[in-house]
Amino acid sequence: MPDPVTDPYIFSKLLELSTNNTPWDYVNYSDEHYQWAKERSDNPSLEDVRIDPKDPKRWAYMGNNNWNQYFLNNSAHSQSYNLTFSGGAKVNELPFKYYLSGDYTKENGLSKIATDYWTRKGMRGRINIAPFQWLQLDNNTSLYNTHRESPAASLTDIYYLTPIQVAKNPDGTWANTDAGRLAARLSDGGKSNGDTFGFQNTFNAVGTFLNGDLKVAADASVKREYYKSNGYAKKFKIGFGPNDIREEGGTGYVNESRTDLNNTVFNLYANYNKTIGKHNFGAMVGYNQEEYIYSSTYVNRNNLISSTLPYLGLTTGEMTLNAGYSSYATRSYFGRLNYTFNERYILEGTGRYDGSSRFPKASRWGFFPSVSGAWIVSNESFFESLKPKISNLKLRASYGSLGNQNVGDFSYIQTMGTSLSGYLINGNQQYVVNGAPPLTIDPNSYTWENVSTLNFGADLGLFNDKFFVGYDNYIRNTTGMLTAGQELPGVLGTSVPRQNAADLRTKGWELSVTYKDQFELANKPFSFDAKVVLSDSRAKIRKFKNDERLLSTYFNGYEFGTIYGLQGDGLFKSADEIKALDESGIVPWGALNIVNGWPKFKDIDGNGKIERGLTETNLKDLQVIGNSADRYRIGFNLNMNWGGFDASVFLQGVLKRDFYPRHYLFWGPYQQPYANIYPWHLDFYRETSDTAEERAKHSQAYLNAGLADANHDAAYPVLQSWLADVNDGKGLAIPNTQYMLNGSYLRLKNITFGYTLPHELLEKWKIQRLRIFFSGENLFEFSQIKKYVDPEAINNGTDGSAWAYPFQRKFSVGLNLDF
Amino acid sequence: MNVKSKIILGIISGGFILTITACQKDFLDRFPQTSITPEVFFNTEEDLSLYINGMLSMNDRWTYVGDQSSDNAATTAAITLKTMMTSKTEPTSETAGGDWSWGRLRTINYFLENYQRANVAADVKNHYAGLARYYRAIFYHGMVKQYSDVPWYSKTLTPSDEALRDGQSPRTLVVDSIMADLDFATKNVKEQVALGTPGRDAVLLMQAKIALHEGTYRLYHSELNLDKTAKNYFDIVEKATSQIIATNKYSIYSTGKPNEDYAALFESQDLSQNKEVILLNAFDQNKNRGQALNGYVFGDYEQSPSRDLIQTYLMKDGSRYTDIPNYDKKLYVQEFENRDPRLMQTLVYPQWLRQPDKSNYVQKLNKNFSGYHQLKGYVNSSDQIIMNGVDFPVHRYAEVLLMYAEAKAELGTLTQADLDKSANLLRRRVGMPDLKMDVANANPDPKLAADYPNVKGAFRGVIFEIRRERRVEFAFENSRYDDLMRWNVGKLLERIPEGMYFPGVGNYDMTGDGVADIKLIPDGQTIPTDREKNSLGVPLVYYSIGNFGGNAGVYLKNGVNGGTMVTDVNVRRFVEPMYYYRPVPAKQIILNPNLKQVFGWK
Repeated sequence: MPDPVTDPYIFSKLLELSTNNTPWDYVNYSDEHYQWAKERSDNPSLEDVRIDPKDPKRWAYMGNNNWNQYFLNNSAHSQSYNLTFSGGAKVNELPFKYYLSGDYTKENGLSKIATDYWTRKGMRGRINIAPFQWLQLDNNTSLYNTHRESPAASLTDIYYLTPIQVAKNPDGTWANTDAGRLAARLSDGGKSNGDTFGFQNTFNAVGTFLNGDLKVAADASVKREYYKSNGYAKKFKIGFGPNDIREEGGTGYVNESRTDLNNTVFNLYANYNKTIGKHNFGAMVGYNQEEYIYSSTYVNRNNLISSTLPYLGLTTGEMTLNAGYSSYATRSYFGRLNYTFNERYILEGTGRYDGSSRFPKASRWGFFPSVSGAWIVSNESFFESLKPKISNLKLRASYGSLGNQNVGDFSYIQTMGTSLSGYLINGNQQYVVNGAPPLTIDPNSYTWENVSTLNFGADLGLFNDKFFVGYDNYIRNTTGMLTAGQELPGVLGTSVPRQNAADLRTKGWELSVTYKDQFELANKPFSFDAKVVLSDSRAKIRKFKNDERLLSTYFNGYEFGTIYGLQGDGLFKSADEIKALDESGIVPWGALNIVNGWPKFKDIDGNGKIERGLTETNLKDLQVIGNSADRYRIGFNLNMNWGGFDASVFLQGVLKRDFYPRHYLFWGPYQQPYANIYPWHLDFYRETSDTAEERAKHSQAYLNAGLADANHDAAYPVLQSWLADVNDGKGLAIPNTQYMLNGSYLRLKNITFGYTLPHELLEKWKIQRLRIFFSGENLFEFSQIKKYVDPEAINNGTDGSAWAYPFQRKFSVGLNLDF
Repeated sequence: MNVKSKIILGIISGGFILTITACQKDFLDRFPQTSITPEVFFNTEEDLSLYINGMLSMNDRWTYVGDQSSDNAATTAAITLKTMMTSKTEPTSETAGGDWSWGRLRTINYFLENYQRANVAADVKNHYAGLARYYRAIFYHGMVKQYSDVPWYSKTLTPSDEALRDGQSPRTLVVDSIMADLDFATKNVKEQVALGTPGRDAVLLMQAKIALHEGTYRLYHSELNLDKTAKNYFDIVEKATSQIIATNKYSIYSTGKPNEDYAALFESQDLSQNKEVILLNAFDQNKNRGQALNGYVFGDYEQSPSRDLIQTYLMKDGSRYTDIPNYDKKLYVQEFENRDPRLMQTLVYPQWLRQPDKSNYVQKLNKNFSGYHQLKGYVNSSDQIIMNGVDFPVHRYAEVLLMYAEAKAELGTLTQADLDKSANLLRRRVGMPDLKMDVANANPDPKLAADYPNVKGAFRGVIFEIRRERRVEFAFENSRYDDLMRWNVGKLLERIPEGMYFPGVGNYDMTGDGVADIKLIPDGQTIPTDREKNSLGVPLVYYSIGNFGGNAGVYLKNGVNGGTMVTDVNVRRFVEPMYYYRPVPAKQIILNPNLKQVFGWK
């Protein structure tokens, strides 16, 4: 997370300046404020709380705080232990295997001033028996329990704090500031606890017949999770003045919730395989069904009898109750036929017939066939001579379709939601219907979306497959994509629901290169493997009803991620320049003044006016200026082993991506003057230098930062609040080339070092393996935007706000013990 | 076992799994359990009530900050009209949008298409239908206020409806339909309803309110060319308000305490028994319904009361403050001497005590603010439960009485007896002398005559006084902006609100005890560490004064030479008639070319 400007004089001066330049000039600090700010800027050891000279019954504050440091740990530490027993025996000449393990993990959260952690305890038992030669039974059971404890207040509230606030009064009470209230809420204001108990069992039976040619398999897996949460909030105390301590936080409340998740999957399939000479035939038929049911109850009751006893049974106030329910079910029949000739030519055809509860009866089922073929060139006789070098060469082609059911569980059923009325009716909140149901769904345009992929690929193995390359190139056609329907006049009063409204084509490729080897190093085997996967794809709309080609929704030919924006042209430097170009159409809230230092844009359509078109056919001054889609995704994996030591490294990244920032984590006061100013903002446009008289009032830090000097070659425009206000979407909230950022990154996701003690050392303890390890997550990244936002968070939110939970580095230590 | 029997066993065991699961024919039928399917709804009175209660929409305590769009307050907020007026270039649909959202109409019309299915008595059905039509009237009144002409829809639309691309219906037709809805509602909505929901009298009040708006709008807005039709609407106002008055259920709240009774309406924990309240929006923290907006109402949040409003209040003896020589040079303490007691129940005054403090509050000054602080809507307590639990009177009887008086004055049929049973009841509550019609008409206030130059006829004087009464009685209850719009005096908003007057540097008493509390020093002078103390030994609060935009802490009109506090200097331009309306969003015209932009908007 970026560290904001904390100097109280610089912060106050710039925040006031940012609203002075607008019609909504409401940040106004008094002379006394500045005098104090200067004193504290010049000498930070001075007190940051005093009696308010304008109101002697209240405290006044002048902090210089970096709230990230006050509230958050730099990194989180975690630990993890694993104990395993495994083994096997022969029973009646038939094999019997078992596996039993237990694990414990604790991860600490970010909060410095409140308890904040997560733990998991788990165990797994697995047995594998063969009651008959032809029958294998396998049962795998896992039980786990997680616990999360966190404060009732949200840590992301620190984004709204300003450095000049203070958290604590001299008398030790929490300060009458947002920071003081957040600290009070975090430490005294309540907690939330969550516990999950999970049970998962998979039973699997495989019968083998006809000398192994026929296999019949059935499996049943059940997953149940019970989630229980308990949260409460209670009063806390805020010191308004030396003798004025007030209770806040209402009457307190306790809430409890219980959730039950039930997920059952059955599979049954038979696989027949026969080899006759050089011919190999295979056939498979199967059936699958899945059911998912989620239900929850939630109760909240106000008014704790005593703040020290935050239990549901000890509350006396208003009670609210809520229930949640969701369910889906699918059924599938599938089959496959395959034929291989001479281990060289492979042909395969499959078909699936899928049904889903998410679609209305009339359009519930979809059939999705596919065919594929491959030629293993390296098995050809003419390849014999190349084999020592080229150990494997395979060419592949396939065409297949799959169904997607990317819609809500009950979305096709027209319903009216209910909720508690906000109003008190006859003295109480009452359940009411929220309004008209959404439009009815036409079952003809509400069924599986069909994703058909044509793929060509090749595998190449060199030097006995030490070096392995895989490449795929595909075209994927999505027909009947489930997406919001066409945009209609606003008088409709509702949106057109999701339906099979669009066709989409995605073209892409994926390349993976693996190198693995093993050799002797200092008389011990050293083995390693390294793998790089690089992939790319681009998706375009091929059909969508939008005759007007409105930019607010899809249109034919639209490429996903396209950013329409303005061409930056520096900053206005003179009144003549401002006069020559009419930018009134993009003035935020129609109200800010265009002055020297205001961003200037290129008048693409040459009409003397900067305007944004609403349609693709009349873009006016908009152009395609970038694309926010992830391009050239890369993953890199390296594993090494030597003499008991092991190490692994995992990197992940996106090599090309544009990101236009639209949030105040980047724009600070240019977005809205409510929170932080960041160091990069200091390079803003300043028309004139301050007079000697004005300089005399400034703090040294302000002068040192050059803020009293004119700055015509500025990276940022004149300091004007709301200039980049995303709520209005004009000004710098319109993507433009000048502030487009390079969103590519490569992050060290994980690095692990382990050491396994030598077997001989442990033998007398009957220990098979004892490994200790250390691992770090998200330790480093190559990224240009990391100084502003977390590069992995930038696809969060619909407006590309990059709004995310404070990003953290994680360190953990752990132990694996196997018997 | 031989091979064959193994296969059979496999098939049987596989079949077993299939049997227990696959045979559920309805396995793929899943239904929601937390929402209602419309097919099984709209059968009982409970169903109708559940749906209608979901439509409930009332003003709440945020109303108290609504006047920042009018001349009652200065504001630092992004108010659409202020933005339009201060914009250096002509606003367009891109820079000044209206609210073109139609979801609520769909909710209302959906009910009107389905309520007939209920198996209940006709009068019950009509009661709920009346409420739905009442909400539809309010919805369309909001649309007419913005766009004048709007398409009228009395049924829900589907994506294939051609009506989606209808053009606007003329204002006259839309208003006729609004009136038909209200007519039905007033005849069918029951008198006795659940507390906190509108009953017949609230519907009648709304009928009067919309009719008064339409009547005065047509009378004063020549761009519509409908002034001849205004009278019908005043007749509707008279009829509806008379009907409410005749119920004898309501009265002006008074316990004989002229300095407290008015304020009690805005700071009461329970208004349910208050006979002035016609529609109540109740709050109770213990019932999960709280609104605490002390920080927004009071202090330097966005809005601050204007000096013009303060000058509108009469003297306690009924004479005009603006008739006093040099009234515009009075200091804060003097301004509040011997005024209409409602002034001290609406604004912070010199002897005011803020809880839990023990000594008088000293007004804080701030640049861009007027220096005055609003009291109406502020809850003078430091207890959060109390602050959150103050009820809000959505409609009160005072509104009925003033609408009655205004309509009769516009009709030219107002009598002194009419005034005595309407506007004068409000004056009597606060101990003010009665408004005398003949006196008012004989000597119209020159100040108000300048403010409202379009009022003509023999009743001019009394119309001015009724307008004064409205402004005073409903100050910070968000009625002033609509009043200015319907009276066609948007030009008044071109005046930049001014603040307190100070003749220049020096020491000033702000609490009315004759002892100085603050010291104004010239810009550039630094505040000494050792502050001057007043005769009570309390250090003075220092402010530097100077010209607008400078480094001073307080901006005065003539800088160090004094003047009123300056809240803004951007020139305001109210373009008539364009700014009385809002543009149809450009995208809507692309989606439906039959929509025409209104009143010169682009």
